Amino acid sequence: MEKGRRILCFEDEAIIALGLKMDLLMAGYDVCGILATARDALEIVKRERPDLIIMDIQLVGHEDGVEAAREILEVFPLPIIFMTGYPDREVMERAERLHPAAILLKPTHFPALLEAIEKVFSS
Amino acid sequence: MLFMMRLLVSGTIDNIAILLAVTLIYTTLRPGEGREPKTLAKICVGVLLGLIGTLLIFQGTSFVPNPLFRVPSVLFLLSGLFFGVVSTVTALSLTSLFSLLYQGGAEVWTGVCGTLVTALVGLLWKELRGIKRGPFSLVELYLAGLTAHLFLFLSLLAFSQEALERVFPLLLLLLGLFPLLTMFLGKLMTDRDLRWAAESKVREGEERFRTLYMDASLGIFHSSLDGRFLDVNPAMARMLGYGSPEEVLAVDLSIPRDLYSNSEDRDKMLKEALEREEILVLDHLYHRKNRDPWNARLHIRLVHTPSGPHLEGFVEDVTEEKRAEKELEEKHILMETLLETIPSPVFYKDVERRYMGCNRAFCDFLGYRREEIVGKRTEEIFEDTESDQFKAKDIELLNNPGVQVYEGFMTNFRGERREMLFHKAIFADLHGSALGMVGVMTDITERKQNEEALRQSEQRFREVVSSMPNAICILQNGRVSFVNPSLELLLGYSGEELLGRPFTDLLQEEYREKTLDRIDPEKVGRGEEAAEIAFLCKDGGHAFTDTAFILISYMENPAVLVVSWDITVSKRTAELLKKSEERLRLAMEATSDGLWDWDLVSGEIYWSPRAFEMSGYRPYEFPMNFSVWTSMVHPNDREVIIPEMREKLSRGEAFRVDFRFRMRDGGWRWFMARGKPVAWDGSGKATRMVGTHVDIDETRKTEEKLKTMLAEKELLLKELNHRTKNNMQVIVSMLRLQALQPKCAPLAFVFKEVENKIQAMALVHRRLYQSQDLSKIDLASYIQELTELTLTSLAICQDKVTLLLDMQPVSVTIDVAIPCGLMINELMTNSLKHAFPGERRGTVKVTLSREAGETLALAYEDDGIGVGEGFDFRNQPTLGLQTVLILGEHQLQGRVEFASPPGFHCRLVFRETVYQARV
Repeated sequence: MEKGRRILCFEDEAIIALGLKMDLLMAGYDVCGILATARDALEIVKRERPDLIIMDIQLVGHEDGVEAAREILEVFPLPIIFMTGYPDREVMERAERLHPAAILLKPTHFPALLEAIEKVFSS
Repeated sequence: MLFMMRLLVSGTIDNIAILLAVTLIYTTLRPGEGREPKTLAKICVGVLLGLIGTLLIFQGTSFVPNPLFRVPSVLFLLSGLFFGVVSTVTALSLTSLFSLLYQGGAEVWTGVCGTLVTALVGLLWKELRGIKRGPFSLVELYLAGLTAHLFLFLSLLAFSQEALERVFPLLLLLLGLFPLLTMFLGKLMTDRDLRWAAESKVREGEERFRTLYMDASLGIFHSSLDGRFLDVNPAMARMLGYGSPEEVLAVDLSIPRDLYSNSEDRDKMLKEALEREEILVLDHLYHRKNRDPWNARLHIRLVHTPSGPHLEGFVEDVTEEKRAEKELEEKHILMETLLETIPSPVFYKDVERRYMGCNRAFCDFLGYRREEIVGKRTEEIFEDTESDQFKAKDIELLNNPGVQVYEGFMTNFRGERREMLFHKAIFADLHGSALGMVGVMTDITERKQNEEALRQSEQRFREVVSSMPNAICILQNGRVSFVNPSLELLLGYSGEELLGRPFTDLLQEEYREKTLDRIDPEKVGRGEEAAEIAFLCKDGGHAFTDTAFILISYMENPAVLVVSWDITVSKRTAELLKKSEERLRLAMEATSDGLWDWDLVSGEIYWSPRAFEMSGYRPYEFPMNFSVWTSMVHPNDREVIIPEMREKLSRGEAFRVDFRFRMRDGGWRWFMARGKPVAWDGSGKATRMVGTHVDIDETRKTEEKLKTMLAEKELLLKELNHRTKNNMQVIVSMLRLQALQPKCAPLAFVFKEVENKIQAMALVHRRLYQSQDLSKIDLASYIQELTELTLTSLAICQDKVTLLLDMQPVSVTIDVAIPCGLMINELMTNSLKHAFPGERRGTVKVTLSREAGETLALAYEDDGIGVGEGFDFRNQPTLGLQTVLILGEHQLQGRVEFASPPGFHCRLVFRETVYQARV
């Protein structure tokens, strides 16, 4: 497990975001931020320079996480892990088109998430 | 012997004398002149004869005792021959009586017998010879005498043999003598008879002539050469104008002067009479006494008489005759002229079938002159075939006198074979004997041709009429005189059953009155409208028809032509149709949909009244057609539905389109039109469609609403699902976070705290479930309940902490409610844990208010001990405040402000619409 990897999270549900942050920190990763919206996402990515993005598909204001991810990836080709509450087929297709590292369903099983992250960082 | 001879002679002479006397009596006393004498006269004669007979018997007795001589045989024989039965019987009776009375002896009977015998012979002889043979001849008389005396002799033989001995020597003499006597005496009487007859005839003749002369209607005269009448008969006198012959002779008539109108005629006549010694027949014009002219036909002759030559003759008044002749002559001329004028050929023939004459037309027809025709027979003039026919007909007529009418052919002078009508008749003389025949011919060729043409035309008419499907009959005087097969079929009667029947009989009762006028030739019009009439069929059923009555001329008489169309079926169909139409109309009225019928060829559309009403128009307010309809469809929708409709129409399929339609008031409403093709053309394209026009405005709106609602619900369900999952995640996270907290608090408390957090979330869901609006809850009442529950759950006594709530009712979504709830929970828990240690009492106050710009302000404060100086609210190692911060600022994207001391204040301001409401 490599330390010092920076992960940027997009999660609008506060408690979950908190939990996620804790888990990631405990796992030894560097959480450079948890955003509730995709607003200024590009700016933040540029500033923080994460190594991985974990994106919740439904964000605050019901913004489209996939869309936001797409925009980021156009500029910054980063590995991305999607998390979603309901697997809407259309959304899933769009998400898959971005070739994410993984698409995980909520409620998140943290070990699974860790495993996905490790897979990303080991490749 | 001599004595005997003397006796004989004297006896004979005596007998002769007596018999002569008889003869004289006969000749003198013979009554009548050819007339049958009266019976009394006959009896008298008989008596006389009887007396003479008696005398003879006496005489006979005297000189010769001979029975024979006692028999006045000749007398009775002659009596029988000439005097007849009555006289003879009378004489016989008398003589016999005498003999019986005055004579005696057996000779009486012989005597009687003898007289009887001779009388009988005489009677019989006369009877048997008959009358017609005329007078007796000498020979006959002799034979009669002989026969009588022979019988006498034989009878004597029967009676007396001895007498016979005495007689026998004289027998031959007697047999010769007496018959001779009979003969001579008989002759005398016969001659006398003859003379009487002759005299009588002469007298008769004279008398007849006299009568003739006097009674003749011819005038008979004698006149002198110089012209005087010597003698005239009454007729002549009348002709001359006089009353009697005497008058004529009395007047000094001069024939040439008084009689003749032209005396030269007489002179001429005289001259001729003198020249010729024969009867001249001349017609002269005479004058009567009163100068009236009259025509005399003279039959005159010159005769020489002892007193000189004179004229004699008879005259006929032929005035009438002349006049008649003249008339006849005139008539004859008239007939001739008539005959010649008659355009029809006329001819007459004799009984030998030779032409006696003909008229001009006849000559012209044949092209012969009269001379060539007269005297010839038909076979000499005509062709064999024709003449044979004529000959046969002529003979037939001659055998059956009367009138003969027949049709035949005759070739005229042009060689054309003309059809002729012959009228012939026998003409006879006054006695009925045929003199010949007359004939009139009429050229009927054209007539025949016309007849044939007419017949053919009639035939064609019949054929046409018979083959027509219409039932046809012709009425004359209201009765059926012709029917065609179709009528027979319609009514079930045969033609014979219908002919002659009154037309009205064939109709149903209620129609009879109405049709009376229409079957009257004088009242019916030409080509009137057909009327509905029901006939009575043979089987009792009715046949409904449309019938027209037309005046026509039939067989040259006005008649009524009746033409019928059987509408029985169509009538029923019409009734059914009517019912069906009514049903349709009722259905149309009952339905709330509009109905339309679109003729794709003309573009015209029938709109039901409802269709008009649905768009706000009055029924049939304007004529509807496709272009009008299209113009009323919303332009936007037009682009969509018209192509679809066209496509469906071209394939002959049904269509269904929704569109907005312009109402009368200009507004738009959603309509649905459904159309179904009912007629197609050859290429499968629809030519007629019917369909409905339905107002779907409400429906559509409702649909939309429902759709929306459905979508909402779906989304909501998705949301909830998501929420639930999320909430689970949250709970998991909460637990994990709790696990990371310092482990100094008692486990029960830890669980309690977790329980409360979960409770906060659950409450939101409960409220959501309970609320009408499934996506929003009232934040104020939620927080109220939450705070109360928190207090209860943490077993805080009512008087330790007081709850103050000042909240405006605000409807928020779950996305807002939960963070708020969790925040309040966190803050309260914090306050309850740390703000009132020991016995310290306090208040917790929550305020919620709406700020400008859709922002909400949620403020929490307690009046507890508060936090110390330099308390870094944002970077506490414990998660409590971090949670509050992250909830307010991260999740709700708001601003969180803390303030302490005094107490503890926390204020959250955030935009209400941070999560857009789904609905």
